[in-house]
Amino acid sequence: MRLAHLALRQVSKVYPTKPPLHALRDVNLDIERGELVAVVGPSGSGKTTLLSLMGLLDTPTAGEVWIDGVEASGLTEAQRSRARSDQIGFVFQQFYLLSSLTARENVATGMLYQGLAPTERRARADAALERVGLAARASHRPGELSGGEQQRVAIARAIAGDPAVVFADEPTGALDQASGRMVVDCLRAANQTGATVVVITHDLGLAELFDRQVHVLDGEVTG
Amino acid sequence: MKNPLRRSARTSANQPAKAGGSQEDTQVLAPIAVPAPLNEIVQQRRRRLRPMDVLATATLGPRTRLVRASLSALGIAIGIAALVALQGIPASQQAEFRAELDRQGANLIVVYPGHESAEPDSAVIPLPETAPAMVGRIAPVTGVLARRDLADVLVYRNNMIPAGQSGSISAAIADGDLLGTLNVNLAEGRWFDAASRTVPTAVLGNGAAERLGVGVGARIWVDNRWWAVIGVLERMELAQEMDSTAFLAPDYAADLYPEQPLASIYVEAAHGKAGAVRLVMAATVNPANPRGVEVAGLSDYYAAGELVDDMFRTLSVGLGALALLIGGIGIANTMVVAVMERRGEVGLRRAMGARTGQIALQFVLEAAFIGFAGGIMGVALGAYATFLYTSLGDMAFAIPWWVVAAGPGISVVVGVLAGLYPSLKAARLSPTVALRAI
Repeated sequence: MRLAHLALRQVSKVYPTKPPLHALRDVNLDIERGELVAVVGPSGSGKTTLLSLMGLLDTPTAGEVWIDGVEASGLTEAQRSRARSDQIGFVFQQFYLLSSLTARENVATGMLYQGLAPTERRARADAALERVGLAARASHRPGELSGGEQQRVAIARAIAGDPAVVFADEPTGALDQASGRMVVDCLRAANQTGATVVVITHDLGLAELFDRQVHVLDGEVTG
Repeated sequence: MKNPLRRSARTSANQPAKAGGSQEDTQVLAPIAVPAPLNEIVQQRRRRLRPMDVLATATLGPRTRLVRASLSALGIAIGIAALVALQGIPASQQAEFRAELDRQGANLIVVYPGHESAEPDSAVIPLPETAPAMVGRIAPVTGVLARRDLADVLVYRNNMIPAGQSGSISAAIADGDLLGTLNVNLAEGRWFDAASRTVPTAVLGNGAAERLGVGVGARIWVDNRWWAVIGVLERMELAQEMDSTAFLAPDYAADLYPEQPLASIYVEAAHGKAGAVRLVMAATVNPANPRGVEVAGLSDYYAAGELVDDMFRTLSVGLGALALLIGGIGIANTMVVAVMERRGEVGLRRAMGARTGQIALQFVLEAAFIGFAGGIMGVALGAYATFLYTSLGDMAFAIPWWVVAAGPGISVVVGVLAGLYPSLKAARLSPTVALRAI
């Protein structure tokens, strides 16, 4: 059986709240290697849960999550951590940049757990910042950067380690339209270098900028 | 086996890519290493962070929130400072006390003849004549003086004084290094030399000279003959029986009063060795009958001083421990708040591949770092307080070395203990919960 780069089979996720919250129900989804996909749906539809499962941040209540031919439920916590450090890059709506570090240091921190030497981390951080057009801002701290620039630093951090897949959760949610557009361009560029890129968004207009849209509603993939 | 993704990354290396609209062409990096598929990656050995990376990560929080970390460290610093100062001040006092006792001859041990039994009027066991030489061979002994009392010999200012008015001045023969052993100087004149030992000369204790009202150059009347006073000793506060004695020329007096028993032996021990020397004294003086030897010591004053110091030290350890506990609670509080505030960072690090143990280690080391900084501050503060105290009291400055060494160590332990719970809490945070927290 040939599996897609990311493959979900009958995946359900139930949060043990009172009453239990069914975030995903029997989801089947294939995302091929090198695809540029937008997962789109309204707030509370289960998009972020989907990202957490595909990004090995969480485990499903039922079903199988396959990534690069490996079924995630068979991995230990340490193996999942290693998979995240080597194969997966994340971009979040809130950027999560460390305020006391420069842009370069923030990007280099993204490769900390990959076991790379500091000099190599710095070199790759500089190269990644150049890829997102922020080479000149490498020595600036997040407080000295605009929101769009901060998000591009976060993208540089996600792609600097050469991941196989990049997940972006509402990457333009906190940005104006022009900055959002630049962020999309950076994600598209990352995709052109070979990474599978999955973007979570509630913005249909933004989703249309990507090659494929996956619609999620009430925990189910609708198309 | 090669990863198709990485092949595609390399093949697209020459394509210009759009980044940031009008931005310059993007640059594609070379792959990190021989690309490995996920099933190979997850089988690799567990990676450890480099020590410098561990250190940089652990100090990131305190460096970012310097004021808060400093205030937390201050709690520990006060505890350590209390410990250092409360150890240092009594140590300085003790050093001063010992110096004062030493100045007055308190490292002295005095050996007297013992009795047959505990009854006061039981027979006296004389000290063996070999005792002074034997005692002199004890390694830490730096001076020995044998004293023979001339019990029936009375001392007068001159031959006109009525027999009943001797002024309670004893006559004695002192053989050995009196000046060195008793650590006393001459107020005037000199001690016996090879010549004066053999002629009727005398050296007076300060009290004796005062009571007799004589000085060097005068003569005193002892046992129906004149003795020339050649020296007067300085006052000895702690050896008053020596102070009211007239010491007669040893060789001349020994001929006059042969076979006088040893009344006492004064032994000077090296600094701090009086206790050890006392332990072996009785057996050395009279190996055949150690129970027949009475050993007393002006060094008993040391014991009294140490008892007071011990009480002070116990109190200071108690106070220091209390202050450290409060400091530890401060660190725990800071770390709990730090973990709550930095849940996003925890989530991000987990997303970037940090294991739970690495997150726990980061926060434990951060707490240890705050504790260590507090410990260093505390030692400095405590030392300064002790210095101020001793300066004002014109005392010698002394802090036990172990306090300086243990201060930062103790504070690191306090930091680790205080940081343990918050760190485990941070490590147990699910990445999704941590990322959702903001």
